[in-house]
Amino acid sequence: MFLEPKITIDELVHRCKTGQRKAQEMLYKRLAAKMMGVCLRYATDRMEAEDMLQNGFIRVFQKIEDFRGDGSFEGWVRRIMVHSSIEYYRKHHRMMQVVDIDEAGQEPSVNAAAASSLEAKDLLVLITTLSPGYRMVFNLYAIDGYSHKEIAEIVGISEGASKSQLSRARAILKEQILKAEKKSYEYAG
Amino acid sequence: MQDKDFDELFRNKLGDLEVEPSKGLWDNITAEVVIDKKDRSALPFISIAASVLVLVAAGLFFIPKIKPDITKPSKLIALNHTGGQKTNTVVPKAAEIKAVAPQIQQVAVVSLPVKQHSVKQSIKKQNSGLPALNTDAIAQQQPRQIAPQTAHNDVILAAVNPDPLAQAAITPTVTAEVKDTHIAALTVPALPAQTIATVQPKKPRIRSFGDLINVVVAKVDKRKDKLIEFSNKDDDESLITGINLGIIRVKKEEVIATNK
Repeated sequence: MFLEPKITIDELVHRCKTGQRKAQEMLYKRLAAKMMGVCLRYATDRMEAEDMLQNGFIRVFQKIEDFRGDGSFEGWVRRIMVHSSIEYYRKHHRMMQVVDIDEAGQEPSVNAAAASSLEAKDLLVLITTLSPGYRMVFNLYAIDGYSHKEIAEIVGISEGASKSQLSRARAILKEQILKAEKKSYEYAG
Repeated sequence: MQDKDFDELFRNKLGDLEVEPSKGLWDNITAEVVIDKKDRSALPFISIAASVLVLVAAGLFFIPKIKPDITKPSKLIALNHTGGQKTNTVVPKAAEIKAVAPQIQQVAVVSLPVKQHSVKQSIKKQNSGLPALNTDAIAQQQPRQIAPQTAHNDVILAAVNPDPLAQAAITPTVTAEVKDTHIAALTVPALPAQTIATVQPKKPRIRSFGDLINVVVAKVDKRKDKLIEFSNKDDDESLITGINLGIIRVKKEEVIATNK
């Protein structure tokens, strides 16, 4: 796309509702990268993320009639993407596995500065190493802003389970960060 | 680090993460989405409308056939039985056939080709095993029943047993009448009287399924060589003798047999 007056997303949505294929493609191009980012957090690898993305967009265009314009379209698409990702996971894997490899007794403490220095791609790697169950819950609560009640519904667990899995997820992530920090010190030193 | 801050760290760095997906992904998506859009098109409605039109046209086509047929059997029988004690039975016979005819229409008859065969066969076989609708009236004579040999034994046209000489004459024509009535019965229950005027006196008899197709096609296709043509020289068989699709034209040559 060159420097032409940008068509708003709302306009594109309107055109999509009338079945204009060109508008569909433009809408996809506008949002694909962001939604890929969402799916990458929930998936085990890139291939899985692309499957989730595909399913998500198919659902978006199937249900676009239902979007009334109340709220941002991007937010609406994001929700669909999240649901699609979790649905995909439930279909292709056994029940959300939670495996505790490290039985950390104490909550590890992480240096805020150290943690902040980590780049996005590093954090993404950390999240991917989580067990699926922890990964889902951490993503939903910490990053996508769902409540424990909503998480329980989507994932199919109890609210209590959601809370405890969130705690464990945080603990594991902190451990991983500490390990990474240690390694970097050793390397640097 | 507090939980809240910890979450926020991840949220800030990963919340708006943007990664370009593979190039071919959109094609996969359109494949599914376009098909979906087609479902919502007017295609189903058009197909339904088209089907209804075809049915109505077929029905309208068959209306002219009905009226003349009902009067014919009675006339025939009257012709064949002049004088003698049989005359008094002729009139009730005619009335009965008329009465029977409406009954034919109440029955839902499905397969036309099968009926053609069975009607003819039953005439030939003189099957008297089928229940007679009007045995009372013809108890005196030997009822020879012309009936379609279907599983349900739906329709029965009772013909008075004519003497051998008249038999040959009556058989082919009654066959035709029964079949015509059959075809008529298949489609339209109503018998508008005014359609007789529209019936051409020289309308060719439909003797087989192929003939039926020929007539229907002839109504639509005004070319010399029709879209599809069936043989109509043999009552039992319906063979394709010609096809004309513009690009492809196939026609069976007419072989004129000479008897020596």
